[in-house]
Amino acid sequence: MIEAFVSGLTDVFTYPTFPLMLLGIAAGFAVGILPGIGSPGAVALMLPFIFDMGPVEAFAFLLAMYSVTGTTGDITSILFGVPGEVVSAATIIDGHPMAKQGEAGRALGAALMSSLIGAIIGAFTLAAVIPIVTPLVLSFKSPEFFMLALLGIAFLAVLSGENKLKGVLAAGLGLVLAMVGLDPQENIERYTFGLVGLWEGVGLVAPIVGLFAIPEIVELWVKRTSIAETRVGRLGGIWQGIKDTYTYLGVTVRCSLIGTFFGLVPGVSAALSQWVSYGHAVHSASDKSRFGKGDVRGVLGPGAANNSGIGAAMIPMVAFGVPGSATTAILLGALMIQGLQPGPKILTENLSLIFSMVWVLVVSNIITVGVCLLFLRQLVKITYVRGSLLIPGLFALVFLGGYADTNSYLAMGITTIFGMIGLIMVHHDWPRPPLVLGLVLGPLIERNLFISYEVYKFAFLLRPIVLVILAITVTVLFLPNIQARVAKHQAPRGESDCLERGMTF
Amino acid sequence: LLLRSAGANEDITMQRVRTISISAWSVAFAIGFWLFGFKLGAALLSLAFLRFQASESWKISLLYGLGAYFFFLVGFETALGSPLPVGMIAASLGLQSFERYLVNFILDLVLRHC
Repeated sequence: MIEAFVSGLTDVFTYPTFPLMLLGIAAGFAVGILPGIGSPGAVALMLPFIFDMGPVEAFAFLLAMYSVTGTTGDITSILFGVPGEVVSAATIIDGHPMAKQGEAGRALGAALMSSLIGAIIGAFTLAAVIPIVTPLVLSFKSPEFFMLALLGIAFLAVLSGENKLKGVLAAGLGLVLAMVGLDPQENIERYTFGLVGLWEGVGLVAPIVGLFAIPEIVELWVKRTSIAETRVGRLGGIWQGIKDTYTYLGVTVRCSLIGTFFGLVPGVSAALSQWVSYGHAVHSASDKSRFGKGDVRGVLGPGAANNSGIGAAMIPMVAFGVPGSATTAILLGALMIQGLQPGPKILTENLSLIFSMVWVLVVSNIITVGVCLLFLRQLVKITYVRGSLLIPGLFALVFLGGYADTNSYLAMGITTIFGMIGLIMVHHDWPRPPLVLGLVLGPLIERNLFISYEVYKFAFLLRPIVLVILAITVTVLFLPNIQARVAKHQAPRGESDCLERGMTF
Repeated sequence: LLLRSAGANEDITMQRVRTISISAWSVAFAIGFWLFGFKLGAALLSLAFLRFQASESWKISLLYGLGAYFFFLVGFETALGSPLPVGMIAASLGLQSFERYLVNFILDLVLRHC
């Protein structure tokens, strides 16, 4: 274990892993600072480039990019009041008022340093949990992995949108789309419409890129995102912000732990953890009068939480194949593209890969904070780039990504179709992550179901762990209904009518 | 209130127009790459998009188009050594490179007239 931990560190500094990590950091900077492009879309866009990379290189590139987006997303939240990422929204409440009062540098220093502490805590949680999780995962067989995949889909389907029926249907659509191609057991064509190009299925990269990147490009155009509308003033006081992180180390560490906990629980998004952390920062303060008007603790809490969750979110994804967010669902797809499957094999045969993920998270955040502190003023200039200038380049990347999936024009067609599906889903408020997860986990579910039935027949449903996971899945699916019913019965008559109509006060 | 709601309606209409136009552009980019390949397709469509949709200046649009062409040429074909598809038009004419054929054709024309 210690050997793998050390080799994970040395792997990060080898060629071409380290330059690729730096490239990922640079891409993450741009993505985090530009509000138009979110981390799921950006990670999806980069998937085609990992075909020729090894697993360590691929994850150094993708994880570095992902981990940096949260940190740099705070920059626009503080300076312009526009969150660079969804997970950076809570930083606005106190960060932007601080910037207005001429304390932008202090807020940025606090956000960057708390992000670094959060990232380190999250990364080492990932390292610490691996020895605990491994024996549990090794005791799992095909029936358990089949049920875990269903649980993962249930988590993401129910918790990724307000309407869980839409989530479940999106996941179902993903599972159906995963069936396209030749049936792996009998080699029977399924939904191929006579197209030989579909024998291998719709692939992963082309649909994911289409689903996530095209709607983001559309949004970039529709909103005409002129990222920075006001010029940035003086950026002094950064060191004061760094000192604040240590003055309020308790808040930073506790909020990091909150972020870590939320990262560990699949389906509970990092977007929520930042608000809980902000709430904790307010609640734990003796003097609450400055919150909302520019209290540095209001920056430290969310800053620490949104980065600590990233490392922790790798645990359910790698060990059980249960991703907790859109980005981790896409990273699971990256794992599959690399020919790796979550579960026992990766925890025993590719342990140094897991530890290299830990080190990538730590090293990339250290580099990010260093670069931010040194070149903050120059970095802010990225925000003056007009959205319209990004669009042709993004389209080229999207379709090149689709093409690279199978080296066929058909894949470009698939990208376009999924782009339109993504647009319709966004327009009608349908969650896209369950669809991606259905697509990614579909083949795994099918294979594990087939093996389970071949070996145990229907008795596989009666295995103790399967029953436990089944119970959790059913609870996840129906708990919101039960809670709503209980709330309805407890609420007075008039209020219950409003609840029935989905109204909130 | 009426004025505000009229403004909001105008915004929604504008958003719809923009969504439809950019969706059409996404299809145009896909078709462009299919017809002209990635290098020439990226150059032509970037130029067309920036000049006629985003109303950028000719200078920026042309420079961007050239940049896109050389990005694919240098970044992919030269550095990564992975040749990009030439597109359906060039393939159906049996050409290795549509743009090389076009440049030769123009040079021929110029030389003949000179």
